[in-house]
Amino acid sequence: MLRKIVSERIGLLLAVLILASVSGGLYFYRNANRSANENVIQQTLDELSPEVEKVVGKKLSLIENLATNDVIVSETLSQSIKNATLTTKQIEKLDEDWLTNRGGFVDGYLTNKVAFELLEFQELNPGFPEIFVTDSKGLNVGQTNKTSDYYQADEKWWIDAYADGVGKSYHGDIEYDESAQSESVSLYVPVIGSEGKVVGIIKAVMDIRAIEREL
Amino acid sequence: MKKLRSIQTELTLIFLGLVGFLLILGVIFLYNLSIVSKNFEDHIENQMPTSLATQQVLVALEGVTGELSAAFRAEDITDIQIIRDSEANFNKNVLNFEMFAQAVIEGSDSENFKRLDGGIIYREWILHGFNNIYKIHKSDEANARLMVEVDALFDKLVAKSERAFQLKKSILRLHEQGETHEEQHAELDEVLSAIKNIKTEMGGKITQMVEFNTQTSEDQHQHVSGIIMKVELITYTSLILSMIFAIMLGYFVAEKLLIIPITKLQKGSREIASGNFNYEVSVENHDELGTLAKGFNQMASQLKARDIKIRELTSTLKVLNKLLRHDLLNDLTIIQGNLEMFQDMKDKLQVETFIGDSQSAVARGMEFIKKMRDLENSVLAGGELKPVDVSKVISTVIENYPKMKITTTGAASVVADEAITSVFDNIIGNVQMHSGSDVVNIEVNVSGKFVNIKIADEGKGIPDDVKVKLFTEGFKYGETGHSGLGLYIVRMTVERYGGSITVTDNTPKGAVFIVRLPKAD
Repeated sequence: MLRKIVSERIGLLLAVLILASVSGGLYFYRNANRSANENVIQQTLDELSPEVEKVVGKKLSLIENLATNDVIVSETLSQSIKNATLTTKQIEKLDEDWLTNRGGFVDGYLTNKVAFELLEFQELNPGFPEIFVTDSKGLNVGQTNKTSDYYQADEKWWIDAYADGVGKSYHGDIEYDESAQSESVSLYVPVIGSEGKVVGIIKAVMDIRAIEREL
Repeated sequence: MKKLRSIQTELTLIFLGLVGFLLILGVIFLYNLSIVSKNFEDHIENQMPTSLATQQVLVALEGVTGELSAAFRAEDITDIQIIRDSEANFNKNVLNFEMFAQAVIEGSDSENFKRLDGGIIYREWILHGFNNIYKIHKSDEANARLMVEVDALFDKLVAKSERAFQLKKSILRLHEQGETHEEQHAELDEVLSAIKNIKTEMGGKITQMVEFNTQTSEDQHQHVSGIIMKVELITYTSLILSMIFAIMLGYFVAEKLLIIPITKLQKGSREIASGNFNYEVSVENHDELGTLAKGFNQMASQLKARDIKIRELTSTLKVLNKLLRHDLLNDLTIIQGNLEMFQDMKDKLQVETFIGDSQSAVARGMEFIKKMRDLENSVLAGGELKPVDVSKVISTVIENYPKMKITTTGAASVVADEAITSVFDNIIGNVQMHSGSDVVNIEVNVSGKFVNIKIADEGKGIPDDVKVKLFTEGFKYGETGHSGLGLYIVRMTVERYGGSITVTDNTPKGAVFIVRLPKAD
């Protein structure tokens, strides 16, 4: 009798243990699956597919081509020379004027020769909601839209593109751009002067619709 | 031996059966419920997300056309930033349209959807968190075909719209530069007119899609309603059937297991109480009540045996009483008469005669009382029988008869008790008193399951008419006949042991008493 009771209790205990193990296993399996799915999603967000990379590369070539535009090169070069001796204090003063658009300071950069070249490029190549050019000091030369700052050389993207005067074309990740109001990829291209020196940097914000259109 | 099935086991089996029945009903119910749930799930997972996706497509299209209207509603828009903002919103809506349209066509979890446009569409899908909200399955052929047609028209609309934005920005730039832009204006008008036509065509297709979805939803609703009605019917029928089944089962089980046997036992107890010990309770149950009925019948049988015993005792007591009144009174009367005459008689010879007669009467009285004790022992001894060495008992009895020449051969054990001593004592006493011989040969033989003890004398023998009455109550034979109880007691005792006693003639003379007793194992 006692043996029977003990054997029944052992059976019950085993059944409970098996049930607990199966439940636990299922729970961990589901968690592992969820974690794997989350990893796949994060990978999708972080990495650009080869097709997208190809399109971005093509667009980067377009901007590199724009960087050879005579008007842009000459205007950027002349402003670089003009601003070469500006002190930090003077630059800060100009940045403040930019914020307040004192004396239509900003408007001049939206309607100058470089700005019109950029606008024309924009019309011919849809998908670039914002393009602007800086000189070798990081100060704006011309632009399609009003940028938040006049001075860009304190930005990492500018430092990387300028590359200590060597110049480097590259693109950023897909991220939300306030001025473009959409998910975009920023393209950075140095403007090389006739002497082979970097005289400025072009930043072009490319809407992902522009990429999608090409795919 | 048939295994006893207790009422507990039977009831457990019945409840298990009932549970099994309910389980079957439950399975049927769950099966139908699963069909409803599957349909509902299908509706939630397929139809509803598709409808919501179609709704999102419509919202996006509305956004696209809204932005176009905002950007081109008036000629006087000269601020290029307004056009850019409209274009940005336009692009967002185009992406939303593409996401939901492709999700309906391909399914939001499909690899095609994930790879679409280099993963750009799926990336947007995740960024907006739609992967957590919508699980859009690949739409059925008709719906997908309609969506493909709408998407193709939408592509045309987007292409024309992009050209319109391009032209508008060009016009504004040329205007800013003070250059002519008539050509661009003319083209813009053409493009806007084409957009209008595409919108009209899309409206028709979208109406078809909405109608298709509405019809599908209605069909689904009717289908689910039908199944729910079926499930309700099955549920109610099952409940009613279960109740009827439970009531009937409870009634018949209680009737068979409890009511019928208990009623039979009740009747049996009434019969026994009224003295009918022959009444037998017939309960066929193989459970506790069946066992109780068997016990009840055994009890009735024992009561019957005791009743018989009581009747026998009563009868014996009647005999004793009769004998006491008759024989002892006779002897006491003799003694009383002798004592009276003794007072008057002076003759010595006569006195001695009266004293001798009185002594004989006292001896008979004492003998009679001894026989009464033997008879009481024989009748009342109801104790357990046991193996008794019959030769030892005979040896003990022989010591009471020193003047007799008694020989004994053979030995065996029989089933008996202490009263067996009186059996042999009475027989040998009778031989001594009535046979006229002092020679007795006792022979003990085993015959199968019995032991035969032959007690033979070489006396005058017993007449045949006497032989048949010899063992009856109160039968007296010859002048020396005493109470007539000795051999009657012998017969009763031997029969109580399950044996018998007979008497035959001995060869060449005399009589032989044959006592047959069960052999002890």
